[in-house]
Parts: sequence; C-alpha cells; structure tokens
Amino acid sequence: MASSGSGYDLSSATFSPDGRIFQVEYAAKAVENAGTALGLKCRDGVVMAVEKPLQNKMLVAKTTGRRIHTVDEHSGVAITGFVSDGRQIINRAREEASNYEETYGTKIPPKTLAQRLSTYVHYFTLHGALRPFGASTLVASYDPATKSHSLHMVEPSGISYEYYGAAAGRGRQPARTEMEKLAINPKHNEGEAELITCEEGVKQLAKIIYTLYDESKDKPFELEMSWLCEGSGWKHAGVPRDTIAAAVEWAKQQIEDESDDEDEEMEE
Amino acid sequence: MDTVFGVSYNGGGEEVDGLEWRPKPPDAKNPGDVGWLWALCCGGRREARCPVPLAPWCGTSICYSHSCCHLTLGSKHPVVLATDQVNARSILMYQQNLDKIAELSSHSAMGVSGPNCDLVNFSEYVSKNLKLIELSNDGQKLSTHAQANFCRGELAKAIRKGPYQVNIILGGYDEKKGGSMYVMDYMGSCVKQNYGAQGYASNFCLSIMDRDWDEGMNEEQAVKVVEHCIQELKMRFLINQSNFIIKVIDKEGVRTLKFDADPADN
Repeated sequence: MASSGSGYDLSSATFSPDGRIFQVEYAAKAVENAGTALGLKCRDGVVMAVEKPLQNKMLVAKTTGRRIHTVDEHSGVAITGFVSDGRQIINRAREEASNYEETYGTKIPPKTLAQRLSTYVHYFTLHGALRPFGASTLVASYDPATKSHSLHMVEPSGISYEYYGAAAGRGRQPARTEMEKLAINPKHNEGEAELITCEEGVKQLAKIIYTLYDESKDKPFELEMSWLCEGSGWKHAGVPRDTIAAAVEWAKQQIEDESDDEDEEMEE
Repeated sequence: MDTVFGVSYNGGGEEVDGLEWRPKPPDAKNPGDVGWLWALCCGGRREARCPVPLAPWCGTSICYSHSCCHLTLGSKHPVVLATDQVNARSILMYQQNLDKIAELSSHSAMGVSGPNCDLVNFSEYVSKNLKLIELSNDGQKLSTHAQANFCRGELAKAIRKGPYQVNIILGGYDEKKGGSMYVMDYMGSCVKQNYGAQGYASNFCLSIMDRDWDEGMNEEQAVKVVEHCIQELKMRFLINQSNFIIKVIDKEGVRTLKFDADPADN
C-alpha cells in the first residue's frame, strides 16, 4: 500500500502536500477490489464483458444484479466496483441520453455521453460533503451521424478516455497485457481490415477472463457480455447465452492447449 | 376610410390579433390572411375596432406582422434562403436594409420573420446557444436536424409563457446528408420541406415553387426559382418590399449571394 494519508485523506476537499487527493485514490482502490470489466473495440463493433464473482454459495445463480446496462438504443454501459454507485451513474447516463434526444432530436454522440458522465462523476470529487463514486464505467456507443463506434472508460476521478481496449477491476493489469496482444489497434496492424471482429472479440474476452481466473484463489463467477455491432443492427444487446457458452468452451480449450504446449516445452 | 384601413393594414393589419395578445386558435394559422379577408368583406366596420389608439400593447401587436416575406429552397445540395429587408411598424418604415437571415453556424442559417424585437432576440439567442454548445463540446457541430429541433423546442417552451412571435425557416448543409431545410412557426411546429415560405409570401410563392422545384436542382436553378418568386411578389404583393436578400448554404458554408440594399449601411 502506498503512503498512508496521515490526515490528508479525510475529505475529498483536501489536497495532500504532494498534490494528491487521497479520497479519489481510495475510490479507485474500491474498484480494484471488484470483478474485472473488459471492453474491446473491434472492427465492426464494441464488446464488453464483466466478471461477476458469486459472493455467496447461497446465491441463486443467473439472478445476480446485472453489471451491463443499456443506456439508449445505441449505447451501453458496463460497471464494476460498488454496484450501487454504478447504478447511479447508469441512471444519470440514461437521463443525459434521453434529455439530449429531447432537445436536439438526435442520439447523443459517444464523446458527449462520456463527457457528461465524466463531469457528473467528477462533481462528487469536489465536495467535502459527498464521497466519490467507487465505480468505473465502460461506455460502448455508436454514433449514427458519423457511423462510428467507440469505447470510453470513466474512472472515479472523473477522467475519461477513449480506448481500443479497456480494463477495470481486479484483473486489469494482466488483462491489459493480454489485450495488447490482440489485433485491435490499427496502428500496429496493417490498417482496418486486419482488426478482429466482434465474434472473435467475444471469444478473446472470454479467454482473458478465464486466463485471469485462479480456481484456488477466486470465487466462482458468472460472465456477463454485451455487444454493440453491425451484427446487432448497431443496437446495444446482450450476447446470447449460447454464444457466451460456446466462447467459454473455446476459451477453456485454448487455455488447456496452451498449458499443454507449455508442458511439452518444459519436457523438452 | 378604406385608405386609412389600407394604410394601417399595410403596416401589418392584424388588428384581429391586435385585440388579443394571444391569437385565438382558428385565426392563429395565418392571422394575416384573416385580416385580409376582413379587409375585403367588412372594410368600413374594421376602423371602429382599430386598436391603434387603444392600448400600449396594441402598437406592438400591429408590428406582429407577417408582412416580412420569406422564401426558401432546399434540395439535395444547396439551400437558398431569401427574405425581404424591410423593418417597419405601423405607418413607419425604419429601414430597408435589414438582414433577416441569421447565420447560426458555419453551415446553417435561419431566415426569421416577425416583429423586430423578437426577430433579433430569438435569432441571437439561438445562434449564441449553438455557439456555446460548440465551444463547450470540443468543437462538436450539431447537425441541421439537431439545430432545428433545438430551435423548435425553444419556441414550443415559450408558447405558454410568452411566445416568440417569429416564424422561421432554418436551412443547413450537412457533410453526409447534403442540404436540408426546416420550416417552423411561432408555436413550435416544425417540418422538413424542400421548399417553403412564411408570411404572405406563401400565398404567392408556394404555387410557383410547386411548379418549378425539381429534385436534383443545382444552385443556379434554385436561385432562379427564388428570383422568380421575388419578381412575383414585387409585382403582385400589396406591400411594397423593394429589397430582398438571398443567402446560399452549400458545402462551402453560408454566403450572401446578393442583396438589394447592403445590410452594413447603417
């Protein structure tokens, strides 16, 4: 753990002598303790996945709270961290989208939505009377005017960036390493045609989640996935359960094959 | 009597509405038209109800005039907007070189008709708000459709509070869609049209545009049709509006094509 706050961490209205706001950093730590959320911008759409650890053996499976929500037809949001905090952000996102459409008659552009959520989340880091949100938000959105899709991530500090691949939560460091290996960045590949499609993206995200999962240490989990792609008519929708199941199968198989390869190499 | 009526009517003879600040629904469609009918059938009687000396607000409502004429033409490519340049009230002509087409952004403009107070107030309000959105959102340009919706929303919000007595034709050019044009009235109705007119111009010009407008017209042809309309107005419209200003919105942006009196001469 980094330096203790020693008095400068009691309120988000206080800077520390070295220029940090500890409360905001602690909020980020809350996110780090939660299930991994991943987002991938593919050639023909955006895919998001969230790992939902089942806290309790008594929980009825497949009924646990959703982490991925639709904000408007053309955009969806995935949250990780304090789920109840995330709920507030989702409600706000829906209001912003609905308001924008009422005023301007068009769907809210992705950048604008991300910026509005950013501003909202940031507001809570300004007042001593309020605490920051303990949730990170991934925003997948499609702009019908420019016909482009994008992925943004809003952090508890209020920062938001646009990403090719974004990860938040427990396994974000290794997830990022894995995502860098995928063909999602047009700069590192031979232009757009080489980038992976959403179908492929679904499988790869499943693989990343399962790679990160350590049976001995982590709780059993449910995998929630959604996509916003050409195939879904540019509407944000949940990935069908059998597609997820197939992707998980594939992922497990891949992981096994890779570990077999490793064993073979070691034997040699 | 008739002359008196004629003159005050020319100034914007909506005495029908002058009696009530908010026009009654059946007359509100085009108060000017009803006034015209009144003039034809009941000439003499009207002067007994002429509100000019009556109450202070009546003066304002007389200038609630649709005597500003307003034509537009939009097709796949450029949008051509034209308005008259008259600024008048009652029997007075304030200026003949007013520019009634407010430029909203680099690729959109709206022609406004109505009393000068609301004309200027509303067009500045909308154009500055749109600029604010651009500045606050990293230079994001709103599409013509979005701008029209915003404008219409403001008009609609105001009708139960204190209407902006302006009728608007908003035209704009979007990179992917090409030109488009929205016709709005003071109550907040809004419709996308290929050609339109507000004010008395509609009586004369809609039929001309019905006949002459064609899908896929280029700018030259569109301007010719607009000029045909202007010619018609100059010949047949009772109110003498000698000066018109024409603006074109195309891929390059908004530009003033021609004017009969330079708006800068003040």
